[in-house]
Amino acid sequence: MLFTTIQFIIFLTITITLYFIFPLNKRWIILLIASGIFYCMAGLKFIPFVLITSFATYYSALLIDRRHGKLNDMTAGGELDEEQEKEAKEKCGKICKRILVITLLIVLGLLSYTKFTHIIIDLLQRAMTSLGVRTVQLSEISVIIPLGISYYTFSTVGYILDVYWKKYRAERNFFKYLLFVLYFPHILQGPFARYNRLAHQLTEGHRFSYERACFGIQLMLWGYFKKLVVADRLAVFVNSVYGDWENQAGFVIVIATFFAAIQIYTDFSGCVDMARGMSQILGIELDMNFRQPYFSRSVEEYWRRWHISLGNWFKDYLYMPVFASKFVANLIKKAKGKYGNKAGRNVAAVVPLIVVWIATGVWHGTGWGHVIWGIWNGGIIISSTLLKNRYVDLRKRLCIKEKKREWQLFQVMRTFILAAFIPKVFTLTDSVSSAWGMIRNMFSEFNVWVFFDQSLYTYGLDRQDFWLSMISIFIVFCVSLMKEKGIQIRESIARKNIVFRWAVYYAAIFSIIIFGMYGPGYDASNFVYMQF
Amino acid sequence: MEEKILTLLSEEFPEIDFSASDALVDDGILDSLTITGIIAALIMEFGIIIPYEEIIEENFNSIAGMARMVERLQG
Repeated sequence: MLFTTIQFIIFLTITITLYFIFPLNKRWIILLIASGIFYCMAGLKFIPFVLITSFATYYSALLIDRRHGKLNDMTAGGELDEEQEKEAKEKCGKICKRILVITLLIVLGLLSYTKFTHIIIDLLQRAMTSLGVRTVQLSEISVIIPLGISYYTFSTVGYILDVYWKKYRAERNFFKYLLFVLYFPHILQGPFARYNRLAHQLTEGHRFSYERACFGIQLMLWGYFKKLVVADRLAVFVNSVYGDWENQAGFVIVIATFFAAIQIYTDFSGCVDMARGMSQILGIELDMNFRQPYFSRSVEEYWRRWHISLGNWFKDYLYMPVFASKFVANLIKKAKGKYGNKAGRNVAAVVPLIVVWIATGVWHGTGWGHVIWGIWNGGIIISSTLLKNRYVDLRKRLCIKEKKREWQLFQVMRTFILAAFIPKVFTLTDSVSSAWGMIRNMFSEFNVWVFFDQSLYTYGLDRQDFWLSMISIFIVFCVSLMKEKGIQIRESIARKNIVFRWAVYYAAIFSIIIFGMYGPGYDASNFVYMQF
Repeated sequence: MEEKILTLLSEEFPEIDFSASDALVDDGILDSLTITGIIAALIMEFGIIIPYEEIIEENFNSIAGMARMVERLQG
């Protein structure tokens, strides 16, 4: 059940109504039942996966928490001498680590099964074929990919690691924990949930607030606009060009790739806006996932503004633990001993980044295109970290004034090309050779006439649809620019008189109904990030 | 120890006034990237290993906090 279907709107309306009818302290039960129904409707075959992950992390966290509590009681009682206390701490540490490792193996094993089985089978098949052994076709083997497995796996792994690191206590009630895992607005595409920020909001129960509901509905409408009016319309053009890339050249590919970059942003951020909007109506604040990423002035900044919850997850649960590991500490010391302080600093900066970018690449996809995508992004960030001082020197020599508007505009455009435009070619094509072919074709012809000879209207979008796309991109740009300048759009609308407010609401609703891509002949596309 | 750490960090990060606040992290003077730089400097200077559990605001909010952590990890 996608957010963009009429069934979902009915489902959401019933859920919100029941939520506010039920007694305050029982409202979380409505959310749990609704989330259960939402997940079951995606497919009953997914249920065992999510239940195994939920129960494994819930029970293990409880065991670890009990061990911590026991150790605290022993040390607080003052019954142990220093030696005995050290021994008890070591024993507790070992047992907790064992529980943690076993749980991570189960949970990440399930995720790996869904992500890598196809690749392993593919590699085995190739090996068998080259040896002349006939094997079963890949299409005959089906791998179950449970809805939102990456999202709930990362959220639950974060939870058990936090309990292991004693950041907070484990949840005692399994059903309350299950609600944190299954909560329907965030299970499709996130944002990645942090237990300590979300769980209490889900279970404490919230009173209805008219203002909050209005803001929530506005955010949802904006999400629907981005998804149905912008992303799904651009998808038609992108798919048409990329589906026949051998016969395309020059500016047609440039425009399709530009549209693809806008499409992925409006699709993904649109879904997150819907999730955050419906949560806001219920009184629940989900984390922000985007902060106008296409206004970033460096690739590093882009990755701090794009899919923020994933970046923060990697920072807290991968980058920092790797950075603080004995392995990296010893590498730093060795590098310093052999080559001096600068080398030690470089090792400290680069090694955790390499690990994070390998993981980010694997999370986004397992084909070679995604490997290149990861190397490209990671390579730019690592090289700009290492060469930071040289870039500063170069800018000084070229007399570039950092605060000049023209320079900042250049930085924004450069970042868009490096972080959004070029990598898109590698993730949209089915193989690396196709991606190179696309790039070759992009520069094979200077066909500037496509802007004037109406040929752009032959890629699935007629003149009206094409210009509607351009206007809707302009609207997204203007809204993003206002946000970038710190203008609180929803608050500004709320301050206007009733006539203006309702004119805006009607305009939003009717533009989604009239211009959304779900009329006859169209099919609302799946959300792009759902596949992860 | 405090003096030694202050000299070290002032050389590494001349743009930051480490004695300006007792809440360097909470006040946003130190971001996560700077903290990783500080950790690397402390590892190289004192030959210690700073485990993940020790990377908390309390230990990086002030030079005194960092000095206490280094002494604890050395001991």
